[in-house]
Amino acid sequence: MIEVRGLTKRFGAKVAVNDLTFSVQPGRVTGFLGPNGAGKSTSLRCMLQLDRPEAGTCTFAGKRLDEYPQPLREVGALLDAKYVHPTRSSRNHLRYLAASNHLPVSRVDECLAMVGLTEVAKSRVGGFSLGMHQRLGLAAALLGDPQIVLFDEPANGLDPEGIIWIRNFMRYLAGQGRTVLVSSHQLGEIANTADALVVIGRGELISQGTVSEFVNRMTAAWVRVRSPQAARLAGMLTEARVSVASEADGALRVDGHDAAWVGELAGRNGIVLHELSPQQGSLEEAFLEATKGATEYHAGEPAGLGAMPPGPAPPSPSPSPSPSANARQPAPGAPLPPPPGAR
Amino acid sequence: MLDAVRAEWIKFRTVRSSVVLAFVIVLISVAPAILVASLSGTRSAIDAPANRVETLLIGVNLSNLLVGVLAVLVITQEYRFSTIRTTLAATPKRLRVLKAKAITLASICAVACIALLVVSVGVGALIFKLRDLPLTLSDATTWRIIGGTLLHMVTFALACLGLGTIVRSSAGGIVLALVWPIVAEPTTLAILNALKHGSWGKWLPFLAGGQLASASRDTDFLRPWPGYIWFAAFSAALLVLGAWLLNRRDA
Repeated sequence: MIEVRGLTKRFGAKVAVNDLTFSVQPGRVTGFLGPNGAGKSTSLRCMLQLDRPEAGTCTFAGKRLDEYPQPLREVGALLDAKYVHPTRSSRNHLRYLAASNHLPVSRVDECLAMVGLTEVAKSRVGGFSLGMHQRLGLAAALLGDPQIVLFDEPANGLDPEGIIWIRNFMRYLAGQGRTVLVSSHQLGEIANTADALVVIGRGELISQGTVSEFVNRMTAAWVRVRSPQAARLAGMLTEARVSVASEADGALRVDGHDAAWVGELAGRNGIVLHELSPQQGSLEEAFLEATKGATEYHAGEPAGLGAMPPGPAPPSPSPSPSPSANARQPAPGAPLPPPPGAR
Repeated sequence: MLDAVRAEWIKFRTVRSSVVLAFVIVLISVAPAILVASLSGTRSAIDAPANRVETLLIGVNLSNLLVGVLAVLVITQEYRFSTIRTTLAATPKRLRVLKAKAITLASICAVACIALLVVSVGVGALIFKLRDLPLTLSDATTWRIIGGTLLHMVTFALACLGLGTIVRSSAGGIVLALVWPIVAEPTTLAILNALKHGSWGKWLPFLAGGQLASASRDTDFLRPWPGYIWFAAFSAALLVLGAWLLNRRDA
């Protein structure tokens, strides 16, 4: 359980985080989402007492980080995998961290084995690939077997295999009842991993709750209808002052009423329906809607290149399964997936 | 606290720069002692035992500069590679980290300096003896110089740790640790002398601190012990300023 209360952090005149309040529940993966520059990393640093906020507190299971004599046993963090000394070996990196929190050296070797770095434990970290850095960072975060873990953009720079591995790792940790907070500006990363979301923009809280709550709140529900008599149905709907639009494949998009209402209308008028399906916006749509106007830097047109090709396509309104429907949490106690490339 | 000190000790000995610097420090400390003891003239100015010991310690005093570099790196490398964040997330009580660094650094310096003193003076005395230039270690000034070299090195290291904590950058910290004692203070002293305010120069902290390890008595300076105490107080002030900044700044 993480509780952030009224966190405010300024850098000079710029307000990076403004009166941010949220809580993170144990037993699930919580995505910490926001566009670039929204204040995610600053918030995480303030939570870990690395940056000194102007106001606000953050408690982990009721206590501030500095109130724990051995904080690594409570809170593990992976802020940036490059926070290592290049001429130190990965084992020595973990050893000094372990020593500082009175953890045994055996735990260092356990963690190295867990992330698949045993064979390079004694090589200098300077020669590591980004993926290996990430794994070392993960080992460092889990060194004290903490109940709370924070990850800042853990998938940055990883190959697809590594991303899947780290995602499974996070689900596995949450499945064990731990509190997992993972920041990202990439939706795809979060969509298949997180159960809950904390969304911020320009340093302020936009939304928090489960993924489906977020999607429901931020996007409108609508009904997709396909019919050989689409034109007639559309005419009736328009007459009834219902918003209706044509989809690319000839289906109708009906806003403001549920599927039952549309089906009954069609039935009363003897219109044959080939499809009648309630639709919910995608997480992507919800995110774009939520952070509208909160993105730091908007892409402008490159000078001197004439007309730009059309910007990113609008979010596809095609049916999107509710993100929470995906298989999630492995059974508690399920064996940890082996890291990619583990030998 | 003991855990934090252990962590600092592991950090210190597991990076290449400290190992290389330690090796160079041994080399430049001991080599001059051997050279001086072997080659000095029989009737030179170093006849007085205190003077003779002082010349044996030329190398140890020279290695002070590298000790300063080492001390600066102990903290600034953490900023350079951002491991300060890893460190402080594991030990959020920041003063504990700085205290642990100070204790580790002072212990390493003390042990290393004692070893260097024993080797330099021992080897030098042996060579002098073989050349029938016996070195007596009985007078108080000689022991003040030997002990003073030890105290000065440890204190200088702590002062440089303070400087490093204040400036946070390796380059800036090293420049300060080298330029301040060997360029800035002598220059300031020369300027003061030219302005007929030479007596103010005795308050230059690094010059004052060096008196304890020096045989010559320049009346313009503070006497050895008051000079050292002033230097130690100044070093403590640097550390306190560093600690205050460390505690309030973003890591």
